[in-house]
Amino acid sequence: MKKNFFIIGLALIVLFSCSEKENLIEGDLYFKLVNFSSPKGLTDDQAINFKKWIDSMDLSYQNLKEEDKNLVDSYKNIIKHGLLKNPYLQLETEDGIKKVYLTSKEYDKIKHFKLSDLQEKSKKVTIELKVTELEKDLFYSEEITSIKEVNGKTPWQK
Amino acid sequence: MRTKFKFLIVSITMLFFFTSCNEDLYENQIPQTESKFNIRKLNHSEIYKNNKVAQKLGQIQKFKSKLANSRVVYDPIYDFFINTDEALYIADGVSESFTFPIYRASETTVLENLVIHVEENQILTYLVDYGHPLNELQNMTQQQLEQNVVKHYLIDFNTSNVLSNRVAMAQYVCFQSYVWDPSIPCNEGELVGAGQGIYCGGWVVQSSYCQWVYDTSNGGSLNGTPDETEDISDGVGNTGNGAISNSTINTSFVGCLNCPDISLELEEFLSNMGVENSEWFNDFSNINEQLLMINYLESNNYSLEATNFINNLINEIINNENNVNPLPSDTILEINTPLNRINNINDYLKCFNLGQSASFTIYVDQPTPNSNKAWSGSPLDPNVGHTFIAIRQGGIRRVLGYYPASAVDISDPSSPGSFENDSSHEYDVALSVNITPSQLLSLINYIKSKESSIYNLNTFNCSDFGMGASTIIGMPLGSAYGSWGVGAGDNPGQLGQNIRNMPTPSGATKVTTTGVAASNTGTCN
Repeated sequence: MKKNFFIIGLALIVLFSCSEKENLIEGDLYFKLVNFSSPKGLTDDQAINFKKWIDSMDLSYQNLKEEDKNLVDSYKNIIKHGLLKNPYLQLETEDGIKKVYLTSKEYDKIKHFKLSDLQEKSKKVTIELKVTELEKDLFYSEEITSIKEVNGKTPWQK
Repeated sequence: MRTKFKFLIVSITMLFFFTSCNEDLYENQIPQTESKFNIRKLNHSEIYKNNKVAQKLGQIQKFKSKLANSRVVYDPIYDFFINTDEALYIADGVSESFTFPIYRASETTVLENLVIHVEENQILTYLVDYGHPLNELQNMTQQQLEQNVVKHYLIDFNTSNVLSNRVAMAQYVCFQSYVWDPSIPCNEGELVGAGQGIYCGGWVVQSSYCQWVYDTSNGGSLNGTPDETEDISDGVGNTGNGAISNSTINTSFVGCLNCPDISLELEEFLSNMGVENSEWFNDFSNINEQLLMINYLESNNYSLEATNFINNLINEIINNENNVNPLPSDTILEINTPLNRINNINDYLKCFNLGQSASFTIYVDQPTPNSNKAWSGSPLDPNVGHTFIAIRQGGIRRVLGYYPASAVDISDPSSPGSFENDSSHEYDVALSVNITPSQLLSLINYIKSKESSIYNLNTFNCSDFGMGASTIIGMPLGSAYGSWGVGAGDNPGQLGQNIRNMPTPSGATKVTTTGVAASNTGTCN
């Protein structure tokens, strides 16, 4: 009997230690005008082509420039977690720009925000969401907990 | 059978009572079915057909707030806004009134209207404070309405007399007698959108019993002692101030349900402005500067630094107008927010005289200075660099760049294009050259022709736009083609290297050290 309890307890500890931690991230919705992949998520065809491109770069990985190596590493992780077709948002946080992949359902909550509209109204959008850090700097969220349109300047970059 | 018959009789009797009761209530509510007034909703052009009213409204300095796509008029003295797109017109054969809904940035609960009253050659403007919210007034009985105190503030929009306006807050306190008029348009609280010719009826003031109450508590003085009350009415009936008006101001309640949002911050900024600055700010001839300043304040969240800066800037401008201190030529530039969308390229470029020469500059912000790399930084937030241009003619300078209006990426590289004000944008390489009037004309036509073009990361991006402009003025820069993964095209990395390494054209100036582009300068009417 004691042995069984010990095994169950051990299994629970292992289980909990393996599960990724969920954290809250808060920041201002950040618009990036030129990016490698679309915030809407890639279509099937686009995802296939994108993966081919990353694979082809990966073949000559050792000869790549440092930035291209980072690009390949970053997208290999995204592909590994099956997120290439998922939409994402970017947030300007106190710790810099964070890219958070989302479910389509959560993306629907923020997709109507347009940079030009927010600029016109001198507003910005503050978002808080529960995220899991799947890899370093690779965040995933299934729950946006707060969306607020407030006075301020929307952060963006070309 | 008998029970059913009794039930039927009782039911019919009750129905009769209910119907007759409704009838009585309705009759009480609408004691009159024919209007004794000429009542109409007026739109902007109808309002301005009356020269006297137009002149009166024109005295209130006007700005079209970016927050509101309507004709918003701000009164700096009484700190309220009206929308001159809508007014309720009431005429009784003797006088006419134009009633505008008033709105303020701060939450106000009571209904206030601006009423312009025209009688013979006299035109007076009142701020009418009903003391209750619109919905409460609409639900009041006639008796309750007639017991309600309505305050009228006679106001004068002549801003040359700001101080005396401030102290002359005389209240014309009235008890009013109302008549139900069937010609009041429906949704009187929502004049915008309510159709002409659809009437619901409403209460109209038919006579008043008024007293002047002078309040000089702000330190000013008027004829009479502070808090002196003078009865100047003739009692109930057609009454008024013998010195000012001989008739009742026929008005109705005009609510403000469709009024635009005015930020509390803007209202606070305006109300804290000094008298001199306020006069300058509310001078319609400074409308362009006003808009730029409001834009700047909004972009900087009305921070203390931003509001101080604008107040100091206005001081500088006023001093400069008085030739006290020369205004540095670049001062006005600071109020332009960098990276600001240009909504109207014709307007943006209108200050250039196409009959005179100018100078053209192409700036390149390379992803990595002195490198042809197409991008740098993190793949999560890549820096792809930027190419932009500037035109300068005397004291007028305009800086602009071509951008995608919405996000693009290597799988989906197209978007409608847009121009941004690239004042103060960093650059790594710049090349300037003087251009003739005909080259300036070609350049401006080229820029305008790209206003509705499609941005494409591979085929027409910021570098293609800048290189096209340079070619138009006779300074081709060659190919800046480079690859970025599954896409390729002209890019700032390669273009920067091309300019850096090319011989400087005759008469041109080249800068190859990183710097910040100058900002826009100069305005024109």
